Amino acid sequence: MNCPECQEMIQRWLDGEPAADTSAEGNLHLQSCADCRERWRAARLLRDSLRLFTSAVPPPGLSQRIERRLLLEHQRTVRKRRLLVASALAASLILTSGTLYWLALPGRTRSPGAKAPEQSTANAVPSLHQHVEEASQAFVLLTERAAQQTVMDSRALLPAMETQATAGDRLVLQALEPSAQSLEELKRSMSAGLEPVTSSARRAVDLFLGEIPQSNARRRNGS
Amino acid sequence: MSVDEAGLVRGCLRGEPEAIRCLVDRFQADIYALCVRMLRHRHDAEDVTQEVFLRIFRSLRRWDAARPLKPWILGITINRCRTWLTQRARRPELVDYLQETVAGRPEDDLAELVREIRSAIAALRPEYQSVFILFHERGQPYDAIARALDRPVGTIKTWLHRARLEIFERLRQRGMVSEVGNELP
Repeated sequence: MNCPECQEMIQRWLDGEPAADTSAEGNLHLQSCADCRERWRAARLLRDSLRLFTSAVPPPGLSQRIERRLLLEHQRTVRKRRLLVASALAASLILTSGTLYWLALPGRTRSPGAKAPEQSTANAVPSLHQHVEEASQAFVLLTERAAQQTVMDSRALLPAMETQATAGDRLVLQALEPSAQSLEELKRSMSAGLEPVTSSARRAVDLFLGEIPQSNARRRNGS
Repeated sequence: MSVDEAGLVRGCLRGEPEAIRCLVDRFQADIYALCVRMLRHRHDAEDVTQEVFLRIFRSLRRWDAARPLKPWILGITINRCRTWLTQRARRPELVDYLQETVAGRPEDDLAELVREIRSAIAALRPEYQSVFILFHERGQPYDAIARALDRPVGTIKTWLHRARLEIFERLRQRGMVSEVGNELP
């Protein structure tokens, strides 16, 4: 037996295996090797001492304390789980009602491919957006018509004056030329003056119309 | 793994007081003794034992029912003790509680020898110490220790053999190895 084999034997002995099979060989090696002899003595001391080691006994009342803590922990877990389930239910309810509200909105935008149900189209109530759009168009038309009417009236006034004028009157007309010129200027200035008003009105209505979808979208998000 | 263990775990998960009592009764002594040996302080061991049970209870759903419960529980205990020791080492007011845990009072030389061996065990690297305590003091076989520490059996054997050699060396350095009793049994 050599030193590594002797060490292996000592380890096996400490593992609990009997050293009977190798005792003769082992004894021979121990007689000749001081290092292994020291290890063998230390192993015996260790094994003997370990027998004196006693397990610590749990103090009285420890198990009851542990049981109480575990039961409390279980109750806490159950409460947490219930809270979680309730929160999930509440969240799903809010989500569902929000979706339903969004679907019920009359002016909501549909995707290009989406086909509106016939019944809902038939019974659709005009939305605020549609009302405003119609009103704005009417306002623009009215403004344009008023401007055109004014210009036309002004134009109609001048030829009538020219045709009604006789030769004798031409002198009068010549005398009135500055006034005619002023009327012509008036016509042009009215035309030019009303045009910006019409354009401004159109722009204002367009801006107003641009705001309408955003306010609708905000209302949808808010729900 | 026994059928009882699976039933016990199911009962604990349902919060049955009887199952919880059974779990505590079955493992309390092992956990507490291991904590005392690793922490060398009874009050700390009580606190850690409670924490270990709490951790076990919270982790019961993760227990692999195909494996025995005890190594899994001992593994959690060792991990918790190591964490506690690391935290305790940062606290300056703590002292060595070694004396507090010497259970019996063997007389004279034997008492000194036991103290010396305990000191030698305490000075081991954490993984060697865990293996040594589980094998020699808790009587766990190699495969159970391997499962508890999640290491191969070969590694566990190597760690235990090295732990023993370190203890031998310490006893030799302290002059505790006498010139008697060379014979093999």
